[in-house]
Amino acid sequence: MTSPAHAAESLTPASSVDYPYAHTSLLPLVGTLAVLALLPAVFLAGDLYMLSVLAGAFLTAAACVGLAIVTGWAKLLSFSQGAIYGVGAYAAGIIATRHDVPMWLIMTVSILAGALTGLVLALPTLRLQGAYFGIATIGIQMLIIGLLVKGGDLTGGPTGIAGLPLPTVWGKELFEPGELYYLTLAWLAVVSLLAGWLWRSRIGWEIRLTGHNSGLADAFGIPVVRRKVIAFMLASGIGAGTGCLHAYVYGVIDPFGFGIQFSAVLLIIVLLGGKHGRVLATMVAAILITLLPEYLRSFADIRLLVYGLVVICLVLFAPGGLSGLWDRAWSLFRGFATNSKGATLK
Amino acid sequence: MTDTTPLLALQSLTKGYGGVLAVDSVSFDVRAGTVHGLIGPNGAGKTTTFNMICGATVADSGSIRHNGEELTRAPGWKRASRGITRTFQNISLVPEYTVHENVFLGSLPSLTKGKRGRARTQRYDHAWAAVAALLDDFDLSSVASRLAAEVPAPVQKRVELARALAAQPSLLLLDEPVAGMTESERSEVLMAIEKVRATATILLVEHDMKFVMSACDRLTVLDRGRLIADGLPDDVRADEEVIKAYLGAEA
Repeated sequence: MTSPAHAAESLTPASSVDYPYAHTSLLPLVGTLAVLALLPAVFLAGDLYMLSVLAGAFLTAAACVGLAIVTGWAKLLSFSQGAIYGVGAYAAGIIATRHDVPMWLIMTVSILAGALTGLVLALPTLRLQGAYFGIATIGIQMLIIGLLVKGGDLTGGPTGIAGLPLPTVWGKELFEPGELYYLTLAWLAVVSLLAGWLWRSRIGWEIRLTGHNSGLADAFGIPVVRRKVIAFMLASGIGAGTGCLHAYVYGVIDPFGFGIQFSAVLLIIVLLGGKHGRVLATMVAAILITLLPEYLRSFADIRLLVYGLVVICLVLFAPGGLSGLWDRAWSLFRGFATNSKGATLK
Repeated sequence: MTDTTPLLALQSLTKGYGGVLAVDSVSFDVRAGTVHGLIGPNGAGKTTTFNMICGATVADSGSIRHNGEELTRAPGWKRASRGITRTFQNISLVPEYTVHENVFLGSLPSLTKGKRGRARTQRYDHAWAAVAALLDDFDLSSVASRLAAEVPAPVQKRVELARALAAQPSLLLLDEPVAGMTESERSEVLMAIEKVRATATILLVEHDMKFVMSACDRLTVLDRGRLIADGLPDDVRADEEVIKAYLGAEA
């Protein structure tokens, strides 16, 4: 056990190479989704309130996983995800209250509308750098909300649209909190697995490389602007698809729910998930941040104050976000493991 | 070396900045299989020429042909996808990726470009494994799983070279590969270049005369934007105009 040969072996990491980015396994993500799928059966049976809150958290998480592709991967600060979420919600609201069209079709239309909006908005703005791009997206955000407010009969003006049909899957109308829980979780599963698969794919690498160093990406044959456009379209398509589901789940939408504050919350969640926009970390951050206010109810009036403080502390003391904390904990653990091994050798 | 069309042909390349001609009607060829040096005193127009070849700047007039294909106005990424790969004067790695991942970045464009027969690596895993072999070639296996930010600068330079080779370039552009290096680090880079030349043609821009003389088969000398000499290192060294330009610059 303590022969010198063994010692040398344990010190050099032989042929086993870590693949922290490239070979990020989808297993933790699948495991988390599985745990979420089992939650209602184990803990939450009958807790209708919590099931509804979590359904909302899953919608937020899906929108954030989309936003992470732009902000975490391509490193473009986008303040317009909330409005694009609204585009999807309004696409659903406008079509579903006027025509008898199945939900999956409206969902598809919303995703395409979102991706198209993303394309139209990306083309003129993506040549802007850093903060200027962020400011342009604030403009986009306000423009879209302005259009929704001034949309007359089509968008229902400031009061929005009410009376959407119930979400219907395979002929079954879903309305109980437990059913909506699984509907939103299914969407989150689709979105997060798609994003997780993209992360490992060539296009995911290329989008992330444009974010890390666009000059380098260009020098290695990657069309930087096109990749950023794709990232923006993916984020917008996911955002709008989620917005569409939101409209179905709540049945009512109004323009102010998709305002700049909502966009800011989405952005904060992505940053808390970690600067690289890893899928699982973003998802977990979204669920935690949505649940936080619920657990702060005992603070009543100063709830928002505490919420704000928690967010500020996280940014100050964990600038790498959740994934940064995880990395640090993991390397500490590994350092501890190797150190204790070294100690036994002596 | 067998065919007569040069790998890279520059014709009357010109670039001016606000009335000053940084590069004035420069023409030269880079032949396949050679290590070609582009040298000259400060302000000679080397970097501008280099940038016009890799696509960082666009020429005002003239033409750049690579394998007979006109690339004068092509964007940088398109040139890279045609096999023109560059390194950077300031080491340019992704610090939060491992050495292995950084080298892997070089093989990204070739992952789906199977048409021109450059890529055996259709699949991701094959590319990943191919990188491992490349790391071995460059003595980087032992640091493969270290973060790029953690390894010393000369090692980072080797990582850059390995990454450039992962792109399977036909023409490798090296921007001042030994700038700011010690003598022993220089010889390390020289050895790496010797390895690279088996698979790619190299065009390098460099200040250091001694290094250039030992590394290059052919030299092109620029002075104040004009081409003043083009030929074998020994001939160039003896050229009077070259001596004058260098002594003039140093005096």
